[in-house]
Amino acid sequence: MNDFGKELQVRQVTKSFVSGGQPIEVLKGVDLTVESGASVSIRGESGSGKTTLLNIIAGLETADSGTVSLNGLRIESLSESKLALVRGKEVGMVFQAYHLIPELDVAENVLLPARIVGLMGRPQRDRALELLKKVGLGDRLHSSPSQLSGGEKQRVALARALMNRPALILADEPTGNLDEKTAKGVIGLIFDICRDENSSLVMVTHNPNFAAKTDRQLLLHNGLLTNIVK
Amino acid sequence: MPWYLYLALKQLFPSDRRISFFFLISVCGVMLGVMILVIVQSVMGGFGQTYRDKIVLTNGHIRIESGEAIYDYQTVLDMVDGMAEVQGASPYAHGVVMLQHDNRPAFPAIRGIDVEREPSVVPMQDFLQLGSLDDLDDDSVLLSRALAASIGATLGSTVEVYTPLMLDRLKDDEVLLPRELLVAGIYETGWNDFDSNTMVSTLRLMQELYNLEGAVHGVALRLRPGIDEAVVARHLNEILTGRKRAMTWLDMYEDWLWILQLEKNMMFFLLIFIVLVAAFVIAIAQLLTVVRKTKEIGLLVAIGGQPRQLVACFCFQGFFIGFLGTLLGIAVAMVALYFRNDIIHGFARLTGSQEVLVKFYQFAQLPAHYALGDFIVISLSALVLTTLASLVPAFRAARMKPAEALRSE
Ligand SMILES: Nc1ncnc2c1ncn2[C@@H]1O[C@H](COP(=O)(O)OP(=O)(O)OP(=O)(O)O)[C@@H](O)[C@H]1O
Ligand SMILES: [Mg+2]
Repeated sequence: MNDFGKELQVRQVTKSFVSGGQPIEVLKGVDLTVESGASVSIRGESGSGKTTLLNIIAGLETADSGTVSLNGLRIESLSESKLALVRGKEVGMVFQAYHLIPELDVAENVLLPARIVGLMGRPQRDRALELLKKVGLGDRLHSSPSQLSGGEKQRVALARALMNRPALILADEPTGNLDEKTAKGVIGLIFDICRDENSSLVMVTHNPNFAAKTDRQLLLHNGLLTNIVK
Repeated sequence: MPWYLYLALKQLFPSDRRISFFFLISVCGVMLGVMILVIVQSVMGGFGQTYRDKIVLTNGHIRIESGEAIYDYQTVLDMVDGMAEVQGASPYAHGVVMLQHDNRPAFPAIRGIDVEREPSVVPMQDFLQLGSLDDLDDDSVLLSRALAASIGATLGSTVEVYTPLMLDRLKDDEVLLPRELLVAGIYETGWNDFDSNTMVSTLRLMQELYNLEGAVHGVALRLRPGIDEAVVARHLNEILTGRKRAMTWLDMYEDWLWILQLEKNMMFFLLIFIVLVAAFVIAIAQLLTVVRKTKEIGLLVAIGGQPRQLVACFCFQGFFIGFLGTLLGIAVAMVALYFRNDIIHGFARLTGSQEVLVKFYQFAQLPAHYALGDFIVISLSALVLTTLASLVPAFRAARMKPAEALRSE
C-alpha cells in the first residue's frame, strides 16, 4: 500500500496502560486507512480506547508499537518540535469539552492555531472571519467564550480546528455535551465544512445516525477496529 | 508577536475583563518591595554621601605624612602648589594634649594649622559658631563645641594646656608650668570624628608645644572638583621623597566607609525579602493557574504548541509582573523621596515629635542620593526573582502529558 499522498495510515498500533498496578491492553493492533477527503466514524464502548487512538494519531500519545503516517510523514519518527508543527498544520482536533481559551474572545480563539504555527496576517484574519460566518457566528467575533452556549462553543472549536486548513480533522464525541437538535446542527456543519475544505474526518460518536453519515463506520472492540456493515 | 507572549499578555489582560486580579496583587507586591528598597537605599546612600562630603570637607582629599616630623615640607608645598589638580595645600602638626579649665581635665586631639593656607583646604571659618579665625594667634585656641562643653569653657575663657613634652621635663625635676591659652572660637563641623574631642591651634604654637623645630606632621591637599584622588595620590607616591606617603581620604576612612557600605548592603539584603515574598505570591498564583488551566495547556499542545513555549508563556508573565512592579515601585519611590521632607515633617507633626527630630537626629532635611547602580541592582534582582518564581509553575505546565491534561476533570 502507498504510504504517500494525502491520507492517514495507521498500521498495527498497540497501546497498553498500567492502571492500579494492572496492565490493560487498550489497542491490540489497530489498522486504519482514511483517504484524503474521506470520513470515518468510530464507535465503541466507553473505555474501549477511542480517545487513545485519536491521541496516538495526533501524536499526543505514543503507541507501544505500530506506525502512524500522515501525508507520508511517520508521526512517531518526528522530533518534538516537528511533530508540534505537523499537529498544528495538518491536524485539527475537536473535543467533547470544547476547550476554548477563556481569556481570548471568539475570533482570537479561532486565530490561535494560526498564531501557533507562526502565520498571522490579513489572510488569516479573513479566513477566521469566513470560518466563523460558516458556522453562523459571524456576528459574535468579540464575544467571550463564557457568553456562548454549548453549541456555539463547539462551533467556535470547529472553526478553530479548521483554521490552518488541516488535512485531517479528529473529532472526539463532538456532540457529547449537546442536546439532539444542537448536535444535529453541529454535525451538519462538520460534514459541510470538511467537504468544502476537502479535509479527512475521523469522528468518534455514540450516535448511529451521525455515524451513518460517514463514508465508513467502524467499531472499536477488544482493542481492534472492525467495519460495521451497513 | 510569538503566540506564547501573546497568550501570556492575554492571560494578564483578558479580553472580557480589563485586568486579572491575580496580576494586580502580584504587581502590587513587587511594587511595594521595590519601592521600599529604592527609598531605603537612596536615603542610606544620602547619609553615606553626606558623611563622605563631611569627611572631605574636614580632611581635604589627600594627606601627605611620613610617620615622623617632616622638615622639608616647604619643598612638598612648592611641588603640590605647582600641580594643576591641586586647589589648595596646607601643612599641619597634630598630637594629643591635656587641657584643663576650672579643674576639669580633657585629653583632646590637637591640630596646628597654617592660618593663611588652611582655608584653601578646610573652611574652618565656616565651622566656627563663636569667634573668628582671624582671632586665632599663637596664644589662643579653637575648641570643638563638645570639648568646650565638657570642660565648661566658652569664648574668652582661659584654658591650661599640658603637653607630653612637659612630662619629660617633669622627670628632670623641672617645675611644670602649663601653657595658658585663650579660647578664640568654638566650632562644630557636623562630622562626629572631628567634633567630639578636638581643638585647633596655629601651626607655630603646635610646633612650640611639641618642640618640632619648624617641622610639620603632614600636608593636607584639596583637589579641584572632579579630579580622581586615587590617581593623584598614586602620582604623588611616585615622586615623593623619603618616607613620605600620600593617602586619600578613602584610605584613611577605609574601615568606616566599609561599615557604611556594609550597612547599606545589609538593608538591601533584608529588604529584598519583601520582593522574595512577592515572588512566592507569584509562584503560588501561577501554580494555581497551571492546575486550573490543565486542560487548556493540553489543548495548546494539541493545536501545535510546544512545551518550551509554554515555559516561555508562564515565565514571561512573571517577568512582566516583575517589570511593571519594578517600574511602578521606582516611580512611587521617586515621588515619595521627592516629598520625603514633607512626609517626615507631616508625620512628626502628627506625633508631636518635630523638635525631637531636629534636636537628636541633627537633620531637618532627610538626605537622599540616587545612584544608578542601586537602581540597576534593585531592578535586576526584582526581575530575576519574579521570573524565577514563574519557572516552577512553568515547568509543571511543560511537564504535563497533553493526553492526560486533556483527559483531566
Ligand atoms: N494515562 C492513562 N493511564 C492509565 N489508563 C489509561 C490512561 N489513559 C487511558 N487509560 C485507560 O485506557 C482505556 C481507554 O481509554 P479511552 O479514553 O481511550 O476510552 P474511550 O473509548 O475514549 O472511552 P469513552 O467513550 O468513555 O470516552 C480506559 O480504560 C482508560 O482507563
Ligand atoms: Mg473518549
